[in-house]
Amino acid sequence: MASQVHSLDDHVSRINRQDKVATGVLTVIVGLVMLLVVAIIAYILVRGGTRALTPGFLTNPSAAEEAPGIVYQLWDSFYMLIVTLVISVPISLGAAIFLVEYAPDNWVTSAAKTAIETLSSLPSIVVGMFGSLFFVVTLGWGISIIAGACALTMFNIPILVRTIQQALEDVPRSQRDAALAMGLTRWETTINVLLPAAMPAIVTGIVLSAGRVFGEAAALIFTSGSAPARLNFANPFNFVSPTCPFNIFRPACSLAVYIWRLTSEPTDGSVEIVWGTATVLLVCVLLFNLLARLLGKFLSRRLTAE
Amino acid sequence: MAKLMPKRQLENVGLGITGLCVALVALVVVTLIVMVAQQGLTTFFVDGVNPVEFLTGQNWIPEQERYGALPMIVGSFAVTLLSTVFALPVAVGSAIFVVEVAPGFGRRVFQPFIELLVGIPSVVYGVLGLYVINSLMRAAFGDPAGTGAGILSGSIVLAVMILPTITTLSMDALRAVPNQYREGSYALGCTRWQTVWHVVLKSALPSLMTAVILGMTRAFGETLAVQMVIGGVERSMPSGLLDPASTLTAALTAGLSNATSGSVYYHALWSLGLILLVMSLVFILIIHLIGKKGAKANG
Amino acid sequence: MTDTTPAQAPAAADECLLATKDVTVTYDLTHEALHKTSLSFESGQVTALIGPSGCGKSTFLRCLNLMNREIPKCSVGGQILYHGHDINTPKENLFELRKSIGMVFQQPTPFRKSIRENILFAPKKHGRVRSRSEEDELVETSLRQAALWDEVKDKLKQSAHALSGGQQQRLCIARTLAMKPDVVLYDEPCSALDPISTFAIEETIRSIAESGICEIIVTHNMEQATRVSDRTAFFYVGDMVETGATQQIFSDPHDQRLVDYLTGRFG
Repeated sequence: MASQVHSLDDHVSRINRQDKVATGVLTVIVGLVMLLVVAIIAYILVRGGTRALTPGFLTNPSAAEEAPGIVYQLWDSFYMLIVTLVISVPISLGAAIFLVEYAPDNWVTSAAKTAIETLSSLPSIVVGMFGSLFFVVTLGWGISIIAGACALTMFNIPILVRTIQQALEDVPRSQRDAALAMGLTRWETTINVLLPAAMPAIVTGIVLSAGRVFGEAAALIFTSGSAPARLNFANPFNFVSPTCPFNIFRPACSLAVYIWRLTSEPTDGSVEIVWGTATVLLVCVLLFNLLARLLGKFLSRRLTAE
Repeated sequence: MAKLMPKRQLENVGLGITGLCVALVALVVVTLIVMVAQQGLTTFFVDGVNPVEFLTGQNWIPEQERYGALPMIVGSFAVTLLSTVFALPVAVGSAIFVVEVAPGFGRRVFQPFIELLVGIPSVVYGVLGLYVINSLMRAAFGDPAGTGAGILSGSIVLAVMILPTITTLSMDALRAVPNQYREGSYALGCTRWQTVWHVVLKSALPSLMTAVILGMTRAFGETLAVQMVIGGVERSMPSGLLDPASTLTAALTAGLSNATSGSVYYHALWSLGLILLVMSLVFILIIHLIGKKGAKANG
Repeated sequence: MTDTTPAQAPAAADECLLATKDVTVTYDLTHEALHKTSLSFESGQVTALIGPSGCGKSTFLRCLNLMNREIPKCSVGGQILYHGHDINTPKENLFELRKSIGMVFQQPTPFRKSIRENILFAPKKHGRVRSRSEEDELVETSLRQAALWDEVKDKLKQSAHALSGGQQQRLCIARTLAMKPDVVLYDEPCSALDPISTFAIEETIRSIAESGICEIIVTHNMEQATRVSDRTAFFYVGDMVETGATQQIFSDPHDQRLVDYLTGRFG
């Protein structure tokens, strides 16, 4: 009897010790992960910060003799992002609405879902490869912003469809039922009731996806090209000119692609430019993240306060 | 006031517009699969490369018309598995901590932190790997590490990249475990660690496996970060973790700009793309199988 | 057409406004939630559907304006006669039907719009209002009918979400009335509300019935059934067990299951 009590005590103190050790180990892991995140971001900002803040870096073209910069790449990145969003947001909205509201419970729907899932798991280089043949050659667009934007759209659609779908499904069912019970169509219900209620989450999702699109490069190398563009901002409305910043049929080089190109074909001093560009890219992406959070908070506060 | 469209018609318009969007997406995906398959199979059916030799050949030397994809296949699997091995304990460990030990801290602090990692573009990871990890490798292993580029550095970079994927999905998996399970376990006098180990992890296992597979999918398909770090040697099999090597994605990125379209080399590259495509379909299949099994196990 | 004039006149003796014949509801092809239920409803009357939870009363209510069609894998058999015409057919125009059979849900469901826009949303989408003055008039009459006008007349432009729960529910009633229905269905409209709001809603339901509208209310609260309804139907495990005048159901129940329910043996 006495030995049993003794061994039970032993057991209790053992499992308590085990519990403490496990908690300790987990705490250390979490601490290290957070340290890693801080270290990565801080390192990049410090390493490339000076270059990024050098006068001219953000305003000079990369071919400039003195103080080469990244202004064309910056422009191309944002312009391509906007073209991508213009294409991908409506398609994703439509697809998400179909899947949430209309999708009949049959093989067509499950095939469509599988297609979107497949798209989400495809390596971006495969998307780029497909784009280099389909958009560039088959459709005859050539290496161009529009081909790049279409490749990015393929990359972006699964992400967007999922977030929009989630946002629509998170609107209470009762809202939807109430509108349908007044004899309204699913279309009217979605446009007038569900979308406004889901808007904060949708906007957050779009901005977050924009951050990912902004940093994507593999899908672009063979679709929009990797040669730094030469733009002429003095004559922005000659849409067929290869130097027109708005021409969607001209090649373009985004920040991310520019980094890749400089690392694969290094030249004198390119390391510093790489770090500077990486810093600018990182800051842009972090700003997108921040913007997504702020916009989401602002919109949902406005919705509930109204 | 404009005359309103009859409701049934309006409903059909809505169905039409949204259905069209879905159809477009599906069509593009089908086109992609058909195109990659067509181009990739040309290597075997038109150019006469033996598919078995393609998959098992140990040398990829286009100038000599030798197309053995094994070095890249091995490279891809090696970095995928290694990076998963590195990332998994850290990811699941932190998920357990933020769900079971400090949920408030998890939601408010840890989650935004880990999401920052998702946001960092892969070229930036590549730059870090190229200039930082590779020097660390040289410093740690000396001459055997060569330039530092190799499977090990590639895996380390990938591990950091898939860490947020596995962590956030694991967090979701653990959060989905009903609280009654935990309360039942505590009521029996179990410690927190016993509860986590025997109850929570067990019932979250299918979702955790899905998290791991999704992480592996990302690692397998990751392109530029790996390509910049791994060294890009396709000619022969890597003989060790410190050896420069290549992956399917890296070989594609490096090769596609040099290959003239229509050449055997070009088609062989598409065959690599086809392998990538098939692998991502396999990953999806595995996820579905796990989901089905999990659904069955939970009734 | 039914969409322009509410059926104010009492229904002809041989033909009820709304009736069901052997309505059976099946979920997932196998689970029968409601078995061969036949009931009839007349204008100006309030009918309460009572019974323990899961007895099929809400399922039955949702059949009446074909809201079951919105649930996947739910099939409804039997006939639902509205103005003597079977609406339980695939050809029935749901949108027309739901204009005249309105529904109020358990949780108040105001849209994220102003009070005024909440009322006008559906009439506008159905092309019912043509001018500003018509809009104003519709808003006022609907809100008056739902006994909400005096409380909100100065803040019609404010968000409906700023109202209290009881006010929100009355706004939902007003919104339904704005469609000028001749039947209004209530699915436990007070279960999320406090006693004072509940009382106000019950008053509203009575006064709406007096204007000649047929009302059907699902409730788990037996006192509420005695307070608001003229007739009561008792459901038990998918069957409509007993129906009759409310007075009779509560004072002289025949079926043993109903007796047990009323005396609190279950439910």
